[in-house]
Amino acid sequence: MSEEFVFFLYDIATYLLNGITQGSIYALIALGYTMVYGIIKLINFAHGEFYMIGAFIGFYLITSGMPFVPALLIAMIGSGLVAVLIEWIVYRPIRSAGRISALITALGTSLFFQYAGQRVLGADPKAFPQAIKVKTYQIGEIYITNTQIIIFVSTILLMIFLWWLVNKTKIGKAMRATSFDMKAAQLMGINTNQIISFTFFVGAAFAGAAGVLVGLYYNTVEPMMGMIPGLKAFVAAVLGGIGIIPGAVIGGLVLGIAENLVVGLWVSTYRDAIAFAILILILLFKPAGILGENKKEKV
Amino acid sequence: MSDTLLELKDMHVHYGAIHAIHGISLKIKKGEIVTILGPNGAGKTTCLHAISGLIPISNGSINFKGEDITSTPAHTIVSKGIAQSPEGRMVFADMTIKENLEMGAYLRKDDKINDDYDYVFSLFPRLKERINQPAGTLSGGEQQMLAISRAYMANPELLLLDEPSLGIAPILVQDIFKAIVEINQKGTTVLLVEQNAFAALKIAHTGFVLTTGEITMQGPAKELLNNDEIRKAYLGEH
Repeated sequence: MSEEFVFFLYDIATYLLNGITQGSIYALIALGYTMVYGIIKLINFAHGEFYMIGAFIGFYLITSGMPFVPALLIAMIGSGLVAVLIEWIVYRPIRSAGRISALITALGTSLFFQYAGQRVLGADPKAFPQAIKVKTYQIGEIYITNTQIIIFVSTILLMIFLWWLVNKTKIGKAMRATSFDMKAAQLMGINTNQIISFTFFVGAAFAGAAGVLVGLYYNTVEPMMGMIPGLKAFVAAVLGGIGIIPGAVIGGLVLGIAENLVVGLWVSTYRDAIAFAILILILLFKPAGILGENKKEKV
Repeated sequence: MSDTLLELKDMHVHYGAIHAIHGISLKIKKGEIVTILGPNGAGKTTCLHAISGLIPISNGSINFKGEDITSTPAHTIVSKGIAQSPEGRMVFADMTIKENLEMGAYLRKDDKINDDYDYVFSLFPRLKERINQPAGTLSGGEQQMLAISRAYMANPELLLLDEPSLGIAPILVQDIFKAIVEINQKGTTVLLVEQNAFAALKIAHTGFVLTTGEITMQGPAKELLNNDEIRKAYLGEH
């Protein structure tokens, strides 16, 4: 192998690592999109704002001196509670009004948080405190930071937790039952309103975690920060197959890696274009998403 | 009062502008199998949905064990002791048989749950053989068995069964009706909605005929079975 080719491989490995990091963030946000869609067929375009809210809670807590892990957990709970409130005040009253009304309401909610956020928190980006000192490790010519490792490990832990929650606990099974058929679930004695609230809570808590992790990674937070990652996570959820939990993870990682390869090997300004090109292609050629086929027919 | 388990008084249901149920009154005695017969679109399923609280009633009342349960939410109705196996079975296709039964027992915290698993497996041994299989992979008849078992797992005093014979092989229909009789003999009151009038009247104690949202005939099942009008209207093809 020529030396140039070896360096090319090192570059690729670096892009992959960055892609996995970014993809983990997309996946964490996409999970909430897909869970909420799975249960009430709502594309919650305000979901990216739960990520922003999580980031700001983390920002204020860490700035006031709280260690990283408790700040992360409180930010998750805080985002989750805001989502429960939004579901209760905004989405529940219009649940039977049809999907277009719900979609428009979600867009309105998203704008409300973006602009109320600018009013209340200020429009300027804020420097996220370095809760954990950045260390860079080197393997050959590949560089990896401890924040990347933290993002990756946190994502895996949260996903294992979600898998356990959905498949092994009673409330998780009730979520699956409600998402399959709300009336059938009610006939089991399941309070489906509670289950929907809980689903919003978990989805937003994951987005909140992503917000704090991104604060740690990019060192800034601002009220509009939820918009683009929210849209990207939506693309990731559709790419994997909306409503399918493992699909959100796969979609997030594929999107993150694709973006970073394009940025690294081609032109960095195409970062956002590639995400939406993927959305257009998937909608044209496989609208059900990567895992869409595995979805069982309702009998 | 004492032996009346469920009483509908002048119950009306509207779907928007459509008046689906025009004032039904009926009483179901504890321990019986009661069947509601009638053609497609007569309002049989609507009636069960109203009892289960899935749709609101526009007038009248529903009493269960002397308590007014009108406009009680569906999930609370289950805790009062009414469970339903819905039309079209509605089993949770991507969950296993075991998980479906767990959902049936969702509200229970008592220690007899395991006995009831054993009991439904003794009624339908096929289910036990496939306990870890997703419900979506079962045949229609097996799904029906699962839907009935799942409702039974709520440990109801009143079991509502909506069209358990619909689209099922005749040989399995026999098994299912035998199981319904057995469940009833064990002490559960059954309200059975059926298009298969002959099979339903054979196992029922009391029958009601529902036509376009009204009860047009009622009486002991044996009498209905011998009634000329019924024979002509519902049993003609048998």
